Amino acid sequence: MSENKYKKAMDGVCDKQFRLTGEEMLEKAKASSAERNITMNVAKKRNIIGKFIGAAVACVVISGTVASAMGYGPLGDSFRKFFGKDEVTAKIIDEGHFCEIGQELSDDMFTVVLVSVTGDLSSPKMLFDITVKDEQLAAENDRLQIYAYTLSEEKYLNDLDNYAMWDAYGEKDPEVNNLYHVCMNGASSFMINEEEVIAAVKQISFENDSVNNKFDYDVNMEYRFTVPKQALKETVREYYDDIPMNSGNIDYRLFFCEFGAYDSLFKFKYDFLGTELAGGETDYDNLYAKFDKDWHRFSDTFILSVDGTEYEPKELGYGYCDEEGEAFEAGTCSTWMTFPSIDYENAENVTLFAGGKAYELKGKAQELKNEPVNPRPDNEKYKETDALSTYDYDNGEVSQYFDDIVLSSGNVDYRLFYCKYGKDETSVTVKFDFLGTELAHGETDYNNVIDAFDDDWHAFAANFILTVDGVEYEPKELGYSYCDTEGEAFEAGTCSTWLFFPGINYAEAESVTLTANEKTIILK
Amino acid sequence: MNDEKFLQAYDKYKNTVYAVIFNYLRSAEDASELSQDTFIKLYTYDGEFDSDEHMKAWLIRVAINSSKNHLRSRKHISASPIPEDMSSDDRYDTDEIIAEVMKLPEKYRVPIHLFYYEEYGISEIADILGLHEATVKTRLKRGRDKLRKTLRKEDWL
Repeated sequence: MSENKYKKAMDGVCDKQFRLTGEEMLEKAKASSAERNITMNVAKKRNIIGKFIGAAVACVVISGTVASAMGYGPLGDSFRKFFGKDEVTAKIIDEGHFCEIGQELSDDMFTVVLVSVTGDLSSPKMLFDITVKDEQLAAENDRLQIYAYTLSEEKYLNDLDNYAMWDAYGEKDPEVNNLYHVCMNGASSFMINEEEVIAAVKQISFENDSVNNKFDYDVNMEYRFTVPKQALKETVREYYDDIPMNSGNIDYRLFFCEFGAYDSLFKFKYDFLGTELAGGETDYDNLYAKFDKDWHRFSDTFILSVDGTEYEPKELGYGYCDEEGEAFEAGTCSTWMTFPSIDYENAENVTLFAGGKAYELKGKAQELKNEPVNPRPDNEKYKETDALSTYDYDNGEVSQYFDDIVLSSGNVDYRLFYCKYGKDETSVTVKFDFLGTELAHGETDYNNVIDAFDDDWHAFAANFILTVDGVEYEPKELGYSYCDTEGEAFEAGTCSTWLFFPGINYAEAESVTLTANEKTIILK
Repeated sequence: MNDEKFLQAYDKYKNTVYAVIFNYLRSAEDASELSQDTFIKLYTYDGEFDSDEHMKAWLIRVAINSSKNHLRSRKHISASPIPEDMSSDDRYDTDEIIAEVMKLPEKYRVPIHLFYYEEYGISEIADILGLHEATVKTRLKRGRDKLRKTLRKEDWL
């Protein structure tokens, strides 16, 4: 890699993305410094805030749909109108799972009301009403974004640097020009134990700001409250004694499920050390693509059957591997998937199917009908390809990595390891060894045999065919080899070469194959 | 720190701070936010710096610590795209280099960045990251090996 190219590229990213001038930064630093002087005295600050919020430290729980939010009618209806017409939360509120908080804090620019808390134990939600005092700023923006911490008192005061803010967008009220409604997810771990929670709104941001040209406004509004148990809908948590489900390569062990109002979460553990898939490799970073591929392929066989109604997974996780044994044994990894929300408590029979096998989670095992009510869109389903991993770029290009698929010319074993699909060209890159091959004739300096190898590659690769949805393409350019005699790029003695096909639209294509001699490689 | 010194430092190390955080977090938005936090910490820092190099090393350390904290505390981390409208003729190459470096695991990505962007030596990187020199060497080697598998020779020779 050229130092200059990386440096130049990174400088380009910096110049493009981080445009704050020195004067603007200085202003922010000064403002923050002034704020810090106030916030240093925690006890004093708590007193000031205490005056604001008065007796509203405990959440008022009101059951039923008659409860109204601060400005927009029945609370449940607000979810039917705003927040992506969130029917699930509207129903949770209708069932009485929410509490009104009604704490209001103000500064020169904004009045922010923490209206209420609702959701379920896995996804608590806080509702804020924000009034923007500058009418022009409000007129320019249909939405705003807020950033806030939700933490326990202890973490907020002593460990703030170890936590990040949550963020959420607010939608403008259709009837009040400068009023925005925000629904923000809160940290479940601090909100489900009936202890004091601090929600601290720290920033309000806008996409347009011709008035002040500031866009991001620092605020410091802290809300203290407790969430009673009944304000959040119960979830059902089930712990299992590591139920093994074998993909053919890996034993995935189901150890935890949480059935909530928004989805059903399934968590699995697996080992990577010593598995055949690891092939002796001990660094999971070098393996994750293989393991994720195995998990996603296996996940496509999962069906959750609830009293005969079948569901396919909604979202599939990527593996996290605990190399230092913090969460599990070192070398144990975990991954997850979600299914749609189900009524686990009232279901009689819940069966998870994986790889055609039935695992009874509740009641009797169901028959697999294979008629899911939520079939995943075709483009989200796992597609068997010969690639190890595939990456899409924002510019429409796609890269694929292969686990050294051997394409033999008869003289040389070329190992396919990388393809890139772009608008202008499709590149195919292969590796090969020259030391000890017949073509090298005992020569150890690649420069002395370079022509023989390039001739072999050109004769061999000229017959490659790229087939895209039945249309065949011939190579448009054949590369010349590069040999790494010092083992910098590959093992010493390993060479690489390439060829270009015309550019294709990989994302839109249904089927893409590469034919090399008699061998066909499925690229899509 | 007085305003004049702060402005000079910001001008000189703005990219250093942003780049190391962007490299760590792979998110333009988070990098911008944490870069500002880092400079705010500089503004309010009470200590003395022996030299500009000392200040630079301090800024990088603060930036890396903030990034680590940020990663630990986030529930979901989303990688932000490489800027769409990078206005140069070699955008293709530029994007590819950054994209490939960003695909490396963090433990290789950060030493690679400090080595190639900041041009720090092995011992300096070891100091900054709190690692043994041998570990830094191994990570640099592995990171380079991984890059060389995906970038054509003219991209890195």
